[in-house]
Order: sequence, then C-alpha cells, then structure tokens
Amino acid sequence: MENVFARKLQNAGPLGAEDMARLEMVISDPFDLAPREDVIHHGADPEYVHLVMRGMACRYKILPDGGRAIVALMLPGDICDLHVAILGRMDHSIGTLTDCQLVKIPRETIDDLLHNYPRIRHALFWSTLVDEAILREWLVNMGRRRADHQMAHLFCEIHARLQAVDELHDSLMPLTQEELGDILGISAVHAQRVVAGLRHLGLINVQDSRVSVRDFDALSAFAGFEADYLHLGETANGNETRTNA
Amino acid sequence: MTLFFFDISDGGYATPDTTGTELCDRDEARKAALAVLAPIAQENLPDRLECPVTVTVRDEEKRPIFHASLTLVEDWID
Repeated sequence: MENVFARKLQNAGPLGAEDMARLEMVISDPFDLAPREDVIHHGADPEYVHLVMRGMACRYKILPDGGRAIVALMLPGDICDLHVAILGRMDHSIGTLTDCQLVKIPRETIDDLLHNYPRIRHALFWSTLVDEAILREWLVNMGRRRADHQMAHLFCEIHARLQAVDELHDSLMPLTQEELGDILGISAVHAQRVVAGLRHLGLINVQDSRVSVRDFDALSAFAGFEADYLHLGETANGNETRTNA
Repeated sequence: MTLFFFDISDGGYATPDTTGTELCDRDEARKAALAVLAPIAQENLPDRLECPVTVTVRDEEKRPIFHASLTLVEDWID
C-alpha cells in the first residue's frame, strides 16, 4: 500500500529508512468507513488517534439549534487528533464526509513515535503547527473575506493540500453545498449561488455536484490565496520550495 | 425531505439553480430564501449592488412557488 502518511510527513523534511519502516507498521491495519459516520464523538475519551488514508473527514461541532460548523478538513495523510493522546476527552466530533479508509493508532504507538523517532516527532510537531496555521487562515477567511473569495480560497487550499500528498487524481472535490456552507458559515442556498458564480467566471468545473479547479492560478488570484501557510516542501535547513508543491 | 431550487439574481447576475437543496417543507424553503437575500446584498455593497436582489423558489417539479426581493434605496439629501 502507498504510504500517504509518510508522504505527508515528508513535507516537513526527509525521513530515514527506519522511520519509513516504522510508518509502514503504523498503517498496516486500515479499516473502511462510510460517508457521514462519526469517527469519534464529542465527549468521548478515545484510546486511539485516527489517521486518514483515503477520503475526506472533518472536525465539527453541533450547535444548540441543530446547525453544524465544520472547523477542519482531514485529507489523506492527515492525523485526525494527535492531541487526544494528551488532552483526553474530545471537545468536538470527528466524522467522515466521504467513503474513508482510516487507521487507528494506539496511544502507545504515538508515544513510541514521539520518543524514539526524532524525525517523525519533528514531522508530527510540524503537522500540528500547520493545522493551527490552517485554522488561522480559516478564521481570516470567515471573518474577513467575501463568500465568493472564501469559497475560492477553500478550493485552492484543498487543491494544494491534495497535490502535496499526490492525491489530486481527477481533482474532484466531493463536497456537497451543505458541507461547503457548514465550512464557510453560510447557508446551503448561498453556497450553491457562490459555486454557480465561480463556475460562471470559468474558475471551477462542476460535475455531478463535485467541484474541480479549472484554472488554479486565476482562482488563486481571485481568492488572494497564498500557499505559504501550508508550509509545504520546507526543510529544516532552509525554505527550499518543492516545484510540485 | 423535499428538493427545492433557488434562482437568485442580484440584478447584475442571475444564477438558475440546477442542484437544488433538500429541506423539510415549503416554510423551510421560504426561510432559506429570505436568509440568502441579505448576505448577497451585503457582498455587493456599496457599489456593485444592482437592486433588487431577488430569489425565486421552485419545487421538485421546477414550478415557481415563492418569490422575494430586497431593495436598497439610497439618496443624498442635500
């Protein structure tokens, strides 16, 4: 099996042969989950950290009126919740958006990776910091960008993140307008209108309710998207940007 | 759940809804239609708003069942 976890972590810098061998063991027992199923529920005290190998999952909160806010997307190679190994009880839920393949990583394995594999520890720390940077960018997005720029920015981010782990494939993003609305804090009807607008401008394609980026440079310019916050292809000894990142 | 379609126009640009949104009933559809007017008007303010912003709701058979519009009136008074 292709180790998308290792590909993701290599964005933080090179890994050694022993690191790669250890990461192969980590992903040796994946399982599948259908779309819109909970991986961990708010209030749970999980024994495992989850890793997405395929598909798309999200971090979300349910509001008292039944509304949902999606506060993070987990794509292939992303660890859902490294911090549950430290924080204990979940303060939000994690669920699948699409068909997913996941791996359960026991807390002891996380401890082993952190204590005995310094390059992996560095990469996990990097991934946690990048998650924070993404959350910062989402705050800016929700607070200060118009809905069409927000939506375009989100598509650019997903495109760049999938590309960084070689998972872009046909580049279709399997998100419904409800899910897009829950990510951006707008209604599903508004999301539909914004997607139609971006399509009208020739920036994206829409097929069977799935979106693909038609012109990444034009979409980036429209959104004011700068990929620096994803920290892709930076190495510990300099900021050497990978050409395909 | 029923599928409703929301055709939205801000005066300058009209989007016929080809996807539709699943909602409980007509009343929910009305609420969803009203809720989308203000954000669209706001995005186009101050100088891109060609009034009025309108929304037409169509039912599963694509028949129009509801219409709403939001108009901004502004004038210098000196």
